[in-house]
Amino acid sequence: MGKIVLEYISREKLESLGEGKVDYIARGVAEGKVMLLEEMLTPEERLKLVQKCMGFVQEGKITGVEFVYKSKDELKKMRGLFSFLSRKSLKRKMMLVGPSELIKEVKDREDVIEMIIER
Amino acid sequence: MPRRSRFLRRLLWIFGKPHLRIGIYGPPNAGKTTLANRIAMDLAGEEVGPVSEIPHETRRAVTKKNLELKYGRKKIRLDIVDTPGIATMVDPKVFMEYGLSEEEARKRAKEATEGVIEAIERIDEHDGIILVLDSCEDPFNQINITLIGNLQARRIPTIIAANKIDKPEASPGKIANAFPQFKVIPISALRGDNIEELYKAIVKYFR
Repeated sequence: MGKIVLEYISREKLESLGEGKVDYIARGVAEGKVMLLEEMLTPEERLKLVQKCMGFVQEGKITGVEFVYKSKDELKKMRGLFSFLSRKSLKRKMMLVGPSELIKEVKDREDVIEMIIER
Repeated sequence: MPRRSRFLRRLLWIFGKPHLRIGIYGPPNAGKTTLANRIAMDLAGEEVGPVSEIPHETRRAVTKKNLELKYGRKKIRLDIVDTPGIATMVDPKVFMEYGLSEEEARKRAKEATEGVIEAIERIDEHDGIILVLDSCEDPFNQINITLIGNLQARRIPTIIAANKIDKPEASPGKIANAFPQFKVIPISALRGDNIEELYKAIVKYFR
């Protein structure tokens, strides 16, 4: 059974990456890593991640990207009148990201997020 | 081509030459091309592209230009852009399950990924977006929420078409409950059910 690398990326590390944050995560996914982010990506960053990962799909490195975070919190904030004000507080949530070929299932429950990983 | 500001769209509307570029977005197999075909057939008598049960049949954005939509006393011109389905995964093995050869599946996967990249790249070019979701599927998935979050953050006028209401298992109410901040219109692009409501919403929300 092959190794699976789980990389934890702290909030400080994510902040220090600045504009290169999404590139860094996409490269990690392309290397087959499962990544636990201490701060979740915004919807714009997530779409950019999908776009970057599709570039790696074209190169045959992965078949895609899967991610999971507590979406119910985000949905609740998105429905609010002042959704733009709550974006910062939303970022204080964790997120799991990994390559599609390893991620068999993601579960986004009330208080728990799960990723079922299998090589 | 950058999106025109709401102010400019309103000016064009007031001075009688409204011309809107509308993108049809959504996950694969939600019925985007069926809807684009329905609109193009209704307004111009010709289709936009082929439909298939194999995911990612539309792998390049296809634009049908200068369709005229008359509603009441108002006439507006529409460019309808049928876009490839936005997915987080494109696996050739899935296409092979539909009977494609390995080579055909790989080719389709390569084109599909290009399509996803292009669709995301061009999201800001539209004056309005019709997000097509399958009302037989659970709307709470990461890609739907990511798409909705982007449309909201980018302030692109959006209508959600809760498609496939012709199927007995359809539950468009689930989509309306999931995304109450958007106008949700239950439709069957295949049969044309409720399409008039969609046209009414295009006139009301995209001008």
